[in-house]
Amino acid sequence: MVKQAFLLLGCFGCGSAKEGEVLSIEDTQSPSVEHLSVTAQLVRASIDTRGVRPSVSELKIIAADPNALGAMVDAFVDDPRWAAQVRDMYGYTYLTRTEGYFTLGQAVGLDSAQELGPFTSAMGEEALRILSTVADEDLPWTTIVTADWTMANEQTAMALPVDYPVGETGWKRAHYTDGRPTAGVLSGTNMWIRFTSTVSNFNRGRANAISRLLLCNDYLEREIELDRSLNLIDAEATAEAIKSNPGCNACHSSLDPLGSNLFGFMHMHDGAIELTTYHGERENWWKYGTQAAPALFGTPTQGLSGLGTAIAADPRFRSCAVEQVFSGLVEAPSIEDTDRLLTHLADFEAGGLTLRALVRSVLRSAAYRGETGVMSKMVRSEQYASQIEDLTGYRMTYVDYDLLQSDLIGIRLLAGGVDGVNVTQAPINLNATMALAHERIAEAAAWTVLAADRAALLDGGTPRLFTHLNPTDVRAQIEYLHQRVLSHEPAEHIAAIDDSEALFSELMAISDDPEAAWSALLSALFRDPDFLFY
Amino acid sequence: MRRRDFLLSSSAVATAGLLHPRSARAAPAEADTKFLFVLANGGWDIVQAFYDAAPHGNVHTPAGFSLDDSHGDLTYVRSDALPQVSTFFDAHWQQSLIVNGLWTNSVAHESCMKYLLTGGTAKKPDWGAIIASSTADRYTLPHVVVSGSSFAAQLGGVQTRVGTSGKLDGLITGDFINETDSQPGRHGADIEAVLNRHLVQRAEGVEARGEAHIDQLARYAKAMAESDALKHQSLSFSTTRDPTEQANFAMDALSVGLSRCASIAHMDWDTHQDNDDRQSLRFGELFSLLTHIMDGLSSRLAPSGVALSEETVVVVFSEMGRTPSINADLGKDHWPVTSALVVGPGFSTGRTVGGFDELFYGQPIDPDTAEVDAAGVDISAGAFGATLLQRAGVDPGEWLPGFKAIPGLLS
Repeated sequence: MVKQAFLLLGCFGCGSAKEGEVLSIEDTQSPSVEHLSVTAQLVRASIDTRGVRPSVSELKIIAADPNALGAMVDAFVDDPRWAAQVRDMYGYTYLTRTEGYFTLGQAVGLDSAQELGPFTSAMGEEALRILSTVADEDLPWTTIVTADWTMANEQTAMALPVDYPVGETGWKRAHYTDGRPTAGVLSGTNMWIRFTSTVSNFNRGRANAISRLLLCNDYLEREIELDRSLNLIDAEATAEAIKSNPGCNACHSSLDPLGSNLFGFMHMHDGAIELTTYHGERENWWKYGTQAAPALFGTPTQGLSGLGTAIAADPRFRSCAVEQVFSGLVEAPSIEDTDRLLTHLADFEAGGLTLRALVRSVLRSAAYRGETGVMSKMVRSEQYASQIEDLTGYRMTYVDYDLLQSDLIGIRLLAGGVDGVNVTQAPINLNATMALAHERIAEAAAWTVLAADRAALLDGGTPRLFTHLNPTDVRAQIEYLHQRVLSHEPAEHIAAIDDSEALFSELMAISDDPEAAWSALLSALFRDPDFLFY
Repeated sequence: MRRRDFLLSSSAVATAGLLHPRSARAAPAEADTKFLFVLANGGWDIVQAFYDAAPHGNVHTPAGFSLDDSHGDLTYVRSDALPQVSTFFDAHWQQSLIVNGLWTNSVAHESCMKYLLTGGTAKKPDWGAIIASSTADRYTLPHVVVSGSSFAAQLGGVQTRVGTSGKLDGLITGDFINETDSQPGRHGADIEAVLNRHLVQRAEGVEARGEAHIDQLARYAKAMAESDALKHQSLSFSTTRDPTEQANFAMDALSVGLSRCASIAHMDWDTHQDNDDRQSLRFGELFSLLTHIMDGLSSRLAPSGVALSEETVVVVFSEMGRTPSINADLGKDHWPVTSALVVGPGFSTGRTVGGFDELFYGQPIDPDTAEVDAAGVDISAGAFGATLLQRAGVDPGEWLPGFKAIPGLLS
């Protein structure tokens, strides 16, 4: 068994360890297991595909018939909540959920944080909405680079030249009206504000974004050995070296032609129209910039639409999709097992290149189900919020704006989110600020659902978590909370339920107020290790 | 009690200083050394402060900037237009080491930043996270990141971003709930303490699923303890985007023993247009900030009782340099070689090392002496980082296979 020390810092007056005392997990922890139970597999799939815990009835079905798991998980991918999980998963790859659209928001006349928050948030969603729409409508995944439509809502429509219907709200398909070539996410303004380019770098950074996101070929992950004989000060010599020097040419021979496809998005200043409008007249500026004709890895492309078509036809596009879904669900950096990649690729292709087919393939894999070595996942901040909302109806907002989506007015990074620029990797461990954010969300959610359930019970409605106004059978209520919140089968988690019962007694002794005790107990369940790690 | 109450009177610290004159003091034990990272975010033009490029002839330097060699082996670039630089080095040259010719290998911000902070482009933790992890059990927030890029990788449990929106104080007190749409009931402090204790015990009772889960549970317990500890200390986390405020917070965090490493960023150095004036503005601000930091470190005590400056290394760097020549917009573009400034104990201070060749690339140095030596080694970001790790008591080989520390940079 792995020996892992807990150092208790002596912060708790009634702690089980004295200050500075080191408790060995070997001494205190139950034996570790090296596989996932069927219930744990169900929880994992439910959170990853729906963003919520399994229902009690789902738990009971699996307990009665473990073989039902496969069909149940397959059905999860048909759930309406799956599209949001697609966006969240790809959000960590596309990194478009930044606050870099702030300047654009100001340029279109938005002023207050309440206005800029929802605007910047929506601008970061355009590409992700295209992905989730393609996924949800079972369109071939190639549509993400060939679609002749984009996604817009009333926020993005304030800045983008799109045919979004005036007076309506919500995300809808829309079309750019500035004559730009259509190529799915490649045509979206938000991508090229997030991945910007200086005039002198000729879209190379953007080209790498395309290569990284769509072909899983990140030039910036290559170790660079600069040729010391090359005079980078001399522009002509540099341009020549890019063409002929093997050290330069290895990257630039493909990077530069890729960047040449994007000169229509070159902006000369940060004015709103300049930023958001496609500049068709600049498409040929590559002749003065990269001096490399537009192409995709040696294949000439006919405009941006041609680039989308070429990417869709590139075999790496499909294998990249497999890599990304596998990494997103299994949280492994990449598929090292070629056979495994080919299996998922075959399922992807057999399923008509729909993301559903691919996701189902990965969900069925031994790696995901924890049969080939157990990885332990921590819920992302979006999943933490969606679990809480599903259980309680509570989401932390300000003027209806999700405070976990913004650092400008919210607590995104503090709660464990990423900002797409300074922090680009989801944490895999809890830290102090996340613990505090969870504490406050859990506290608010527990009080909220308690009040709502009380009102529901008085009105003859259906409560979410509390089955009686003043539960006389405390044990039964706690068992139900463990089942619903932590997916604990009561008979298998007697010790944990005993702990909660003891905690409830202690809370009652402190507060002498059942509501305070119940809300506190529930908030603890929302912060429990079994709520966070899955 | 708030931040100011932690600051000790200058007289008390001065007395401590008199008892232990600087020259007689040894560097603190490696594991006690703290690090304050100051990142000039966007790429600085080193010819305005660190490296006199006049002998090159083909490197654009604004008029009025010239070599200052009046401080022993520490040479830098002075200008009447930038008195803040001279003010800093006049006061702190003996504690300063300028490293010129530091390779960050790329001309793209993202990859340069990864090189500068982690030594390569793979998914690895940054220097602050690695150093902090080696003594994580001694600190509540081992590496506190106020602003700028950070790479936690597998060390997310030791790296905490406190943000610049001032929201953390509200989370600690619970008052943040008052800024949200609904303000339901609140638990009392006594209940919060009971809940945290319960959750730590829960982490011990959960059936672990493999090694990763065991590690997560251990870090979970520590995070719970840390979050509770934050409620019982008086440091204000109301940092803003103002670098001076961020520096004050970072120094306070080091001073009260909250953190071993702290990171702040000074923004807006990417000067593709109007390079000279904008870089001068940035350097003026930066060196004012550095003087403020040195004053702040001297006027605060470390937990050990000595002045914080005696135990803190300030690392000032930027992810890239700027091209030698001016572009059509009077700006300078990206350059794969930069400089760094290290101020503090344990380094070979009072000198400038490294240099640039005729193509304005970094020159190799003898690793033992840090003198320029064509047969020596490059000052790569990885080697620089390995040196920081070694100074911190961390075996660089454990984290940076392929890179060796440069002993000539250490005292």
